Amino acid sequence: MQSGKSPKVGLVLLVCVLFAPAPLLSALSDGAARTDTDAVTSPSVYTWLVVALIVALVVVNVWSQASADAADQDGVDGP
Amino acid sequence: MSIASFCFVVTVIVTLLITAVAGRRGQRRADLYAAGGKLKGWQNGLAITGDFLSATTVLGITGLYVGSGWDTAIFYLAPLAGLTLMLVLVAGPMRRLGRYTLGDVMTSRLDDGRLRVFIGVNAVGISLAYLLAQMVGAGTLISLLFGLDFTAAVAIVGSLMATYVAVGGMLAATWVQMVKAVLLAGAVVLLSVLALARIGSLGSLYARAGSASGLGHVIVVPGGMHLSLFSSLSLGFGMVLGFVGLPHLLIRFFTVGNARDARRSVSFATTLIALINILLFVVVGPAAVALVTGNPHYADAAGHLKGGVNMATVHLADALGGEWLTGIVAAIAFSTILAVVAGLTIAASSATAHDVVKTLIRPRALTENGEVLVFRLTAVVISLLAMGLALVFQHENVAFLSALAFGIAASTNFPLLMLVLYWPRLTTAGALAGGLVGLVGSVTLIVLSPAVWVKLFHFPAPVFPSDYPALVTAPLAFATAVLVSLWSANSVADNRA
Repeated sequence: MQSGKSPKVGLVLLVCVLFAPAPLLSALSDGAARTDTDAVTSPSVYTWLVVALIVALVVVNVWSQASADAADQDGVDGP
Repeated sequence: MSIASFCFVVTVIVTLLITAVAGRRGQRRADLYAAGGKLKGWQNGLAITGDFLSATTVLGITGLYVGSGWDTAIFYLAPLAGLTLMLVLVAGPMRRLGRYTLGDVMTSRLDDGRLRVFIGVNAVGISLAYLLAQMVGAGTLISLLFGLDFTAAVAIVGSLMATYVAVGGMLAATWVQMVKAVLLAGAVVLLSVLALARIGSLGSLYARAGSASGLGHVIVVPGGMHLSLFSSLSLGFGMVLGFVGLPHLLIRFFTVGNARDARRSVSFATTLIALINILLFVVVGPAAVALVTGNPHYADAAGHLKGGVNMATVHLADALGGEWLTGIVAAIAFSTILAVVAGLTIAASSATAHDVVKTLIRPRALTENGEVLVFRLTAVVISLLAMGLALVFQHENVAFLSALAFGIAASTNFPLLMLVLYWPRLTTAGALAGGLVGLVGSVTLIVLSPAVWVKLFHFPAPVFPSDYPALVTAPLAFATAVLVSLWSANSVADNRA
C-alpha cells in the first residue's frame, strides 16, 4: 500500500514493548507483601525503569518524527 | 479576599481577555473549528500538552499515588505511548485528509452521509461523557479549592466554557491551553525543587515517604493496585488506544498548516509531557506521601486526607509554599479544568454542526455562516446540558464516564481510523458495522464493569472484570469491520456479475 508501512509496524511493536512492562509488572508483582518487612531508602530499580521507559518513548517519538519528515519529502508517508 | 480567591479572579479575567482577543482575530468557520489552520508545530504541541495534562493527571494521579504508589506508572506511560502511536499512525494522514472534524477524515475515502452522521454522533457522545466527568469533578474541586457552592462552581465553569467556545472558538481554547501548559509545567518544577530543597535529597525523600504512610515498599515496587493480569492489560490497552481515538485530541491536527507541523506538534508535546511526568512520578508523588499523608494538619476527624486524595497536590503546595503557592496551584488547576472542558465542547460542537446537522439537512442548504451559527448554539446547548447533568450526578460516582469515553473512543474511532487510513478494502457497510459493534460492545461491558455494576448499581461482583473493555471490544470492532467489508464487497461483485 505504501513504502512506509513496514517501519510503521515495527514502531508500533516497539511502542508496545516499551509500554507493556508497566501493566505486566503491576499485575504480576505483589508489592504489598513486602510492606512490613523492607524499609524504603531510595528510589528502586523499578522507579528508574519507569524513567528509562519514558525516555525511550520520547526517543522513539522524536526519531519517528525525524524519519517521517525525511520520508515525507518523497511523498511516501501516510496512505 | 483570600489569596486563592484572588488567583481565581485573575484566572477568569485573563482567560476572558484571551477569548476577546481571539474572537477579534477570526470569526470564520476555519477560525472557530481549527484556529485557521495557522498554528506552528510548537504552539499546537503546547496546546496538546495542555490537553493531556488535565486536572486528572496532576491532581487525580498524584492522589492515586498516595494510595497505590508505583502502579500509577501505567498512567504516566500511557499518554506517551498513545502520543507515539498518534505520531506514527495518525498525525500526518489526519492533517492531509481532514479540515475540521474526524468525520472529514473518515469520509475522505468512503463518502457516505450515514457514516459521517455516525462518526459525528459518536464524537458528541464521547465528548459529552468525558465532559460530564470533568464537570462533576470540577464542581467538587472548585468547591473545595475556593469555598464555593457546588451549583455555583458548575455554573461558573459552564458559563465560561460556553463563552470561550462560542466567542473565541479553537484559537481562544488553544491560547488558554498554551498558557496553562506553561504554568502547569512551571508549577510542577517548582513543587519538585521546593520538595527536594525541604527534605535534602531524593534518598531522604523516599525514606520519609516510606515511613510516613502505611504504603511502605509499595511506593517503589509494583503491585499496590492489586490488579489481575487481564484488568491490568485491559487498563493499559484501553488508555493507550483511547487516547488515540479521542476526538478533542484528534482535531488538534487541523490547527496546523501541514503534516510536518502536525508531527512536530506531537513530538514537542511528548517531550514536555515526559519531563513533567518524570517529575510527578519521581518527586511530586513521593513528596505528597512524605509531607501530606499522616500529617494531622491535612487530615479530617476520621484520619482521611481533607477533601479526599485528589487534594494531595494542593496540600503539598501548602506544605511547601504556604497560602500563596496553594492559591497559585489552585488557580492553575482551575485553568486546567476550563481549558479541557473548552476543548471537549469544541469537538462536540464542530461534530454536531459539520458532520450531523450539515449532512442531515443537505450540505448545500447550510451556508458557512449558518454552520457557524449552529456551532455556537450547540456550544451553548452542550454547556447547559453539561451543567444540568453535573447537578443531577453530583452525588454519584462518575468515574465510569471517563472509562466510557476512553472505551468508546478505543473501540470505534481507533479501529475505523486505522482501517480508513491503512486498509483499502474497507467498505461503508464494514465501517458502520464495525463502529456499531464497538460502540454497543463497549457501552455494554462498561455497564457490567466494577465502576457501574458494583459502585453505581451496588451488585456484589462485576460481570466483566475491568472498567476498560477495549482489550475485547477493539479487536471485535476490527474483526467485524473486516468481515463485513469482505462480505459486502463480494455481494457487490456478485451482483455486478
